[in-house]
Amino acid sequence: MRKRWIAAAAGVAAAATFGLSGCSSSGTSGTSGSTQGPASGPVSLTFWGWAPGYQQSVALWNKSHPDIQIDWETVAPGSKGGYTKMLTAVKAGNAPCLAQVGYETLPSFAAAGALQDVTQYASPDQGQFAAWTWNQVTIEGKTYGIPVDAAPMALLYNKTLFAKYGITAPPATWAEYSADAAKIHQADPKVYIGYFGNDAYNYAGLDWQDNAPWFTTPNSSWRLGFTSSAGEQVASYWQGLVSRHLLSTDQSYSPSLYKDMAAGRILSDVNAVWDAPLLASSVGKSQSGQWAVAPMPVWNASAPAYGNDGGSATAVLNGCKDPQQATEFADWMSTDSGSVTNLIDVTGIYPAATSGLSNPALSAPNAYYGNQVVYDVFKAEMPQINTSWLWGPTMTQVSTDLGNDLGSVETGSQTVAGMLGDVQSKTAAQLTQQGISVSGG
Amino acid sequence: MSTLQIGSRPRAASTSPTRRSTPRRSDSSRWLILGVMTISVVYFLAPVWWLLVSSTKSDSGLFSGNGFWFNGFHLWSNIRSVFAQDNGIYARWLLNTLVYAGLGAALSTLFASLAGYALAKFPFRGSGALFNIVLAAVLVPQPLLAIPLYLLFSPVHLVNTYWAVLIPSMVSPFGVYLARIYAAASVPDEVLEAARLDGSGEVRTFFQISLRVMSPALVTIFLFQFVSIWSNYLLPALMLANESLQPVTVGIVGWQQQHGSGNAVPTNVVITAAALCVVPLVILFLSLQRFWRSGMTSGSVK
Repeated sequence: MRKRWIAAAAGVAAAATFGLSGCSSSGTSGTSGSTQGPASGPVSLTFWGWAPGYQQSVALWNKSHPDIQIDWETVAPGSKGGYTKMLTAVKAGNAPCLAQVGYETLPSFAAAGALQDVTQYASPDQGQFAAWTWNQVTIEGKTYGIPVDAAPMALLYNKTLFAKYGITAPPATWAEYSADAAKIHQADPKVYIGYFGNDAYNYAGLDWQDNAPWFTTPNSSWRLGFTSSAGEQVASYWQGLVSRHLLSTDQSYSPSLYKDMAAGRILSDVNAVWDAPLLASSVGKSQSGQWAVAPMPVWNASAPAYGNDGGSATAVLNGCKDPQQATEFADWMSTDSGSVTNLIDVTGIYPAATSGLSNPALSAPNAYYGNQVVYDVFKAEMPQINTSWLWGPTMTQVSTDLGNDLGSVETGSQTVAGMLGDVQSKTAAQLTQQGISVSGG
Repeated sequence: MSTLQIGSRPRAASTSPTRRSTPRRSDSSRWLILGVMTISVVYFLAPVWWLLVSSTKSDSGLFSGNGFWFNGFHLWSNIRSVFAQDNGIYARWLLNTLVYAGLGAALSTLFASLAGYALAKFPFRGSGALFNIVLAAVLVPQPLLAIPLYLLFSPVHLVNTYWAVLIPSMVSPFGVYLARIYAAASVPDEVLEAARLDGSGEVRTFFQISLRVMSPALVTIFLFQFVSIWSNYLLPALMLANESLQPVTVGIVGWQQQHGSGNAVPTNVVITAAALCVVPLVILFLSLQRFWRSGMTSGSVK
């Protein structure tokens, strides 16, 4: 699964329409919860999600925890109606205690008052997770769930073809990436080092890496940072590559992209950990063994920092009567070695828990990537992913607008800087329309 | 309607005495119509063609070669994989969809014909206003009602049951509209009068005489409702939280969304599943086509 479950989709709009939307999360643990049973006896909690493999982890828990039984229910994927369902159920007062929610959607859930503050139960678990993942489930000092997975970004590249064009070591910095891009394109004008896609969350990962968060919450109000100076550094870098025609204009995850890769016309992809199997299956067997994974090129080689593109949490929904037990389960699911092994094998997650990173399931060599232990690269990046990134409450709108504008940049009818200015003003308008105060810019 | 014109034009032309003077204009307009029709046929059939072709490909074959032409033939093994995936839950989903669409469409046809007939043949105070409300309801998009329905069903514990999808499917404002128009146009008052004189009760008259006269409209209503329930996504996605209650639409989207995960459902299985769920609709359309046509035009007369 694309580990980010693109935004809240209609969910946010639905929440706004039906009056769920408040200015900030009030965290009132309502008395109209759905979960049955007094806290003293055996407790039964419902868990909504859609990822394959979660069910097996739930079964493992139920076997070893007779007092807290989890009832897993498969719902439609978040962006395909699942989030709308969760928000509606909270409104109806029969929401489950636990829900699978992507990091990018948590702030919109919080803004809609759909999450329950579980800081007091969750805070002892904080040390078990990579610092930045904990920040993803914590908004304005309140923790709403437990991180499950992460999606650090790296450079997936065709090692064999890189060597053909005289590049023996993958670019470690963005300056080297740019130089290699020129070198490859000069050798054969039909061949490109990479592509400038139209994937909004991939672009977010680039800004994330350069510590240029789109959203911040100083003084308890949202502040937009699309056009920050760090953001402009990223923008002008990619604008330079696009203007010099050093990148292919294939769209992200399109058949033509993979066809060009398979034909040796596109040699690398800056993408998240979940893209490694996706790329392998899409490019196909003809290039098996040729590819390799290198760390994402960095801005400053002496102080490397990396980006992230995806990941999700087990959130506790508003109205849950047993938040302590719910948090206990969520923490167990993300950290227990049996559960994490299952989630790696079946769901294909990259664990957010520090202990999960040394899980033996992650140490298998990957034949497509020349028998490299690809997860080692991502593992080394995990502690150096920027911790400051915060998603906003209108990510559906942001990702749609940014995705459209990225397409215009590809065709040359828009600049990267112009795109970010456009998205910033549209986002400000959307926030204002939802009654959320927004400052600066 | 344009097809009829094209078909009938040559015959008319050949019997026409002014045959020589007219062909120019009629030829050019014929070509224009033919061109527009061809474009729309390609536009509507291209995705279906792609789906059919793709369902015969292996997982790796999908991403190589021309998308609109064959690349190896794996249809049978694809179908076997669809029904083997996740312990054969696909068959369950198909059955669920069949229950929702079949039962929902049958009941909504019955209710729509009752309501439409009553509105057409039994004038009462406010019947006009009532009909206008029904007309207004035709304009309300179904997905807009999904969330309010969830909030209504939730306190009465209907959420996550078959009823949650079936009950909303039994209502078809468009069906009521069509039934009223058709009943007014096709069921003569004289016949009803004669039936009453012969001592037939209103209910018996309705079921034994009026329903038969209205049958073309009933088929249309049934088909319309069947298709809309069959392809409905948001309502079941919202109402159901149990995989074994899901219709095929929600199930396939769930499969498709697993793309890229550890043991994702292979793309060729997802595509073949999508192709398979179109087959019952095609069969239904072909077998009811005769009625469908006469029903379609009947609505447009008035």
